[in-house]
Amino acid sequence: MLQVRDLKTYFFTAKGVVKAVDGISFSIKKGETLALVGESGCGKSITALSLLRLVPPPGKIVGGQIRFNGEDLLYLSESEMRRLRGNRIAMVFQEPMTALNPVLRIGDQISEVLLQHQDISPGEARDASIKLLHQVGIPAPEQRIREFPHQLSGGLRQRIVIAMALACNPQLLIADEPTTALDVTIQAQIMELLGRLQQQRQMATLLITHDLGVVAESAQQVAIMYAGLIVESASVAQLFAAPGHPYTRGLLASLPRLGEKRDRLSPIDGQVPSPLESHTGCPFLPRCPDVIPICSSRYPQLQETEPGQHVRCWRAE
Amino acid sequence: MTPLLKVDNLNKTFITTAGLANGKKQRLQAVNNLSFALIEGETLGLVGESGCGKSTTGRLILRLLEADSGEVFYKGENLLKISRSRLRPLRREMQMIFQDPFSSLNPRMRIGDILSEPFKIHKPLAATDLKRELKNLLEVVGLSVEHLDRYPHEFSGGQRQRIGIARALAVKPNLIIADEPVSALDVSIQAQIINLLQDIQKEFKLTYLFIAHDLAVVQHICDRVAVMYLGRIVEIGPALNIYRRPLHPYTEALLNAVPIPIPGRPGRALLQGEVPSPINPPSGCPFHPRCRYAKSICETDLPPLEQQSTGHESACHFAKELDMSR
Ligand SMILES: Nc1ncnc2c1ncn2[C@@H]1O[C@H](COP(=O)(O)OP(=O)(O)OP(=O)(O)O)[C@@H](O)[C@H]1O
Ligand SMILES: Nc1ncnc2c1ncn2[C@@H]1O[C@H](COP(=O)(O)OP(=O)(O)O)[C@@H](O)[C@H]1O
Ligand code: SF4
Ligand SMILES: [Mg+2]
Ligand SMILES: [Mg+2]
Repeated sequence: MLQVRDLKTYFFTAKGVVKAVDGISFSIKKGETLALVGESGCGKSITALSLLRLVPPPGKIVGGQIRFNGEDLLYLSESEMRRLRGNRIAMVFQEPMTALNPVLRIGDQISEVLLQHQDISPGEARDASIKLLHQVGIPAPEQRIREFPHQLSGGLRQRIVIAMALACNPQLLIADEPTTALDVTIQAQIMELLGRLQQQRQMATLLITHDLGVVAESAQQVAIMYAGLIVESASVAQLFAAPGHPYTRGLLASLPRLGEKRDRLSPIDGQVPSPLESHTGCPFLPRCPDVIPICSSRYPQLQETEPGQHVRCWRAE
Repeated sequence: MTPLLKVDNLNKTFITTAGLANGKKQRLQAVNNLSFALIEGETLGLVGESGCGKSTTGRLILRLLEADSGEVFYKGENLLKISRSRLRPLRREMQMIFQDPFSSLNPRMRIGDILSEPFKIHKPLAATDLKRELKNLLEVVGLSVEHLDRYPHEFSGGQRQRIGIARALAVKPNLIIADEPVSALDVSIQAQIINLLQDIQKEFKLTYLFIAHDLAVVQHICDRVAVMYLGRIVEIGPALNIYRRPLHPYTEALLNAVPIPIPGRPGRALLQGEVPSPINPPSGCPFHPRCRYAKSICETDLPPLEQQSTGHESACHFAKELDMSR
């Protein structure tokens, strides 16, 4: 369904070039969820925005391919992209208010999406909106369509955004930290909802998160990003059973876990790298506990270590 | 053992118009008859969904906010009754660390000035002594003297939290109220800061009130945990006991909601319904509209917070009958 090859998105800022996404490749099949995981600033959101060709200036996609149903999105015209967005490709963001218009009634917002992409009457759009709100678990949708976004809780707002995203039956759903702003109880409800709708509709989903618990519960495939690169990709089962990259191992080791009492956590030393840094060797080197001489001189490539598992590390085999 | 801090029947009501279309004023009871104690050297966690009153509790204790009624005893002295001038030296012993280190650091001040400020207020020093103190402080939190001339925006989130911790430590406090201190940090950095908080606790014999919503973090760092719902404590007890055998259905529901980083686990019962608002709280047990064990008594009678086993209290009519062990 989606195949991304060597995607590069750079920001040309006054301080220098920020290589936010620096050559990443992944694919997502129909009905499958790929989780994209990594620390703040590693390039997850810019990857998502690149797929929709919505990278803000001074950012630019400078290379690669984004094949959606075999067609390279980078060659589409802006009007062709507009027809895809919100229609065959939909997006849900962390902060639901960014996707909602504060002065428009909820029913009108959903109807607008439907009317934009489908040949239906306003009355049909209204009925379809009520049905969608019902599907995303909004109580009394006939009343809710007359309300404004600010009258709702964060969890209900995110359900509305999901209803809007699903309005036109997208084949690909991009969800950028859809539950990060929510309480864990509401997060669980929203993830359950997304999982159920995805199963029913067999959507391909790109789920951006920094929560490895969410990955374990909601995704089948996972890609770990670090400094604009994918450093490991694998099935969820493989990644948790045998993480191949020292960064992945570090992330898993640094988690406190419910029901386990440890004296100390094992953090990854050092800091999340600055986006302006450029690397000759491995970008993880300053924080890596397993360095060998070649790490500082050459940049490792992703290599297959097990069938279906790829690791970007000189020590991986 | 006499506690370092004892909170008795604390209450706080806000008058608010927020969330209402008609702009009418409403009473919102953010903290409702709250009582608990902190033993010297321990870490007590305060957990619950957003808006349940965690931050308000912290601010009431430090008198950043005035309580409507109730008492807060620090080393036996009632903080809510004493004068501001008597409060000031005690305030030195009680410091706060916030979630967003950036918003709590003045962007136009260099780190050296930010860290010197508490000394100016509480303990004036000669320049050379101040310099030595600052150097020690930075070392304790894992920063170096080169950082003194820099501004907050030049630091990462984790480093800014280290600065916030250094500022709190500057005046040698006994009690630290940490309000979501690691919630904004990436996991790898979060683990560094948690370790740092544990190290300085040992080194300086600190007592923590640790406010957070991440139950795994809280269970790791806390000796005891208090679970809040709509301004009340509904369960309080030793951290591991609370995890292994919660005695309140809300605690069980919170624990169930935490996604566990182990693939292939069976689904779990999810808490239905919205995070409730303290405007118009439900009758009886405030949790009853979302509780899967609720019976008719729950709709009418408020269950008191009662001891169920040594040091473990719960406010549920059926705490003794339900087996929620995990
Ligand atoms: N408008 C911009 N101008 C310059 N640099 C930018 C811009 N937007 C993003 N970047 C940089 O691109 C990199 C990737 O950003 P991105 O938003 O994709 O991070 P992320 O992985 O989504 O992080 P988070 O977990 O914090 O959401 C970062 O280094 C960021 O500073
Ligand atoms: N200054 C204020 N004015 C009005 N309402 C407030 C104020 N501060 C807090 N509240 C309300 O009090 C309740 C408890 O808030 P808070 O203590 O911040 O919750 P928590 O920290 O647990 O998320 C919430 O409903 C919040 O909206
Ligand atoms: S008192 Fe009733 S409603 Fe409240 S938690 Fe216990 S069983 Fe549930
Ligand atoms: Mg992002
Ligand atoms: Mg708070």
